[in-house]
Amino acid sequence: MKLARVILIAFGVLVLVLGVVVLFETNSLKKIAGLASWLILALIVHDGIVAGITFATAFALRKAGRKVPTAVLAIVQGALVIAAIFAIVVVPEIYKKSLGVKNPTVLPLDYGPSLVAFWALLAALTVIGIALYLVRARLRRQTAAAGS
Amino acid sequence: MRRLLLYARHALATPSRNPRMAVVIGRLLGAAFLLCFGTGLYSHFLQDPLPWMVFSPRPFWLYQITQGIHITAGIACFPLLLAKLYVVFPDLFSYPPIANFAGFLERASIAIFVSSSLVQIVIGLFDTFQWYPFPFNFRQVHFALSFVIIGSLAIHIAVKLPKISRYWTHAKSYDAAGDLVLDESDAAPSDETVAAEIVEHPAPLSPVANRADRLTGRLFAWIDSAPARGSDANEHSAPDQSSRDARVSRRGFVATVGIAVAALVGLTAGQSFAFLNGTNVFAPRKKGIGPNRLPINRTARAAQVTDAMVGPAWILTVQRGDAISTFTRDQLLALPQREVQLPIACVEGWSQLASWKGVRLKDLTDTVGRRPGEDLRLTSLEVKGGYRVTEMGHEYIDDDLTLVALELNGETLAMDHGYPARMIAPGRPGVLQTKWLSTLEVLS
Repeated sequence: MKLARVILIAFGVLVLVLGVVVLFETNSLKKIAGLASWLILALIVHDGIVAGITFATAFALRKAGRKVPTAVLAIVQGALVIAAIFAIVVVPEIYKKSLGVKNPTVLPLDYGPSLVAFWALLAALTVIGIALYLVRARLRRQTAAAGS
Repeated sequence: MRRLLLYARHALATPSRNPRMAVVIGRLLGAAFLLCFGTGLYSHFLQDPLPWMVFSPRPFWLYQITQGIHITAGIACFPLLLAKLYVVFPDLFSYPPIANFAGFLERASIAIFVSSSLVQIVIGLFDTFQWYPFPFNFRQVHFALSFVIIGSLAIHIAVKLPKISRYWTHAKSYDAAGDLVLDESDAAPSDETVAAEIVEHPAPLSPVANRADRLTGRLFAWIDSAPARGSDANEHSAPDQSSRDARVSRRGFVATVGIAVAALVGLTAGQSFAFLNGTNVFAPRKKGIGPNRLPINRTARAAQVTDAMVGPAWILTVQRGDAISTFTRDQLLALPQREVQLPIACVEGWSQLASWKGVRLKDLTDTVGRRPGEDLRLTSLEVKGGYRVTEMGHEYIDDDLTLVALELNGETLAMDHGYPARMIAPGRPGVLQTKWLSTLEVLS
């Protein structure tokens, strides 16, 4: 394993340095400074904002987790995460379309209404999922009670 | 500080945050990154080949598939990268933050990896709908960052290799009852660890730390004030319940990531893969929308090609040294016409198969006596742009499918698709399918 690690680190450092060299060869210092600001911004957005929200949610869910069945919590959490990921991907499209596009074949679809429809469908599936789980759980408990 | 970080890790502890999950999600993300890297390099060198490079025009759908995979895998990276960051999030609060020089290198490589990856997928997504709100050039930075990411990924894998190996298989990670078996150093801080820490270090040092400590203490008291399930007589006994809950929580997490990836791919990949066209509701492009029922990347207006430039006076010049042939559009139409089915495959990921009709390129270059192995320089009427003058390798000229196209999908070529004549060759990126052709020069 030691040899594999040494090879991986050597390869990694080599490729990383190559990337930096390519970066400096193909971009002016001003553009590289612009990129650096975006890289730092990405860390701030991740470590500051997204992480903060995750932290707050973690606290809230720990409390809820003591009362609500884990499976229900998992379904709700999952739905919220999927809804958020679609927002991350689709909202920039909606915004760019509102700014104007270079030709009408770029962003030709109705992204806003589709996103709302997707969220509505997701919410409906979540409710159905929770209902099915609760019914199943109750049946299981009744069967267990009858058997004992 | 030490206690605060411990509190943080304790608060963030959840069954889905464990080294086995980091390995499972990490493998998928690593595969997606490698796919993006490989297909990206292929696309890059198709556009900027090194002098010795020769490409295969066949299969004609090759670039359509590789670039479709590039963009689709890039979109799939959004849920995968966020999932990976979520799983390893408590590591951000490990104590001491930096233990030694190796630890510093590890943290630095992860910081580079995380920020480069986030920027890379975001600017990649924006490029698919031609949005450039960032203070640098997309193409150069996207290319350079890909090496930075793959390099820091290799370093990251090297650093974590013992852990990756420890949790690589299901059998090594779970016991017979299906419970995760963690090494002691990998276990999240428990209530007992936190209590022991308070006994060991009774008083925080500074007033700020004291205040923060009291706040976190109160937060935990608030959480613990809720009645715990399992204390109910109808529930299972507590250890059973917690083991079951952990499994449900882990499976829920995997299912969430799986559904997110499947839904994103299913609802966007139709811009690249025809069989998913029906479910394409979120991709930046849609097959069949545009003049001649085909999307456009760059309009005649953006390229500053005017109606006057493509009027009756337009001619296509074919030359090799002193030998020159010229063709009006009517003369081209009078030559033997061929019809081929070839895709336009854009670097932005969308592609569409279309029906093209025109003159075989080889027939035109034969009029100036082109010899085998000679390449071609293509010049467009466009006034400016990085692809006004491009070169085409001999392998494409020799391919019977390569046409100087005059018609598209049964209609006269639309102005925005390159009227009066454009190039269409198999297996090339759309930006090299030169529109508004002006000159074809054989490089003897």
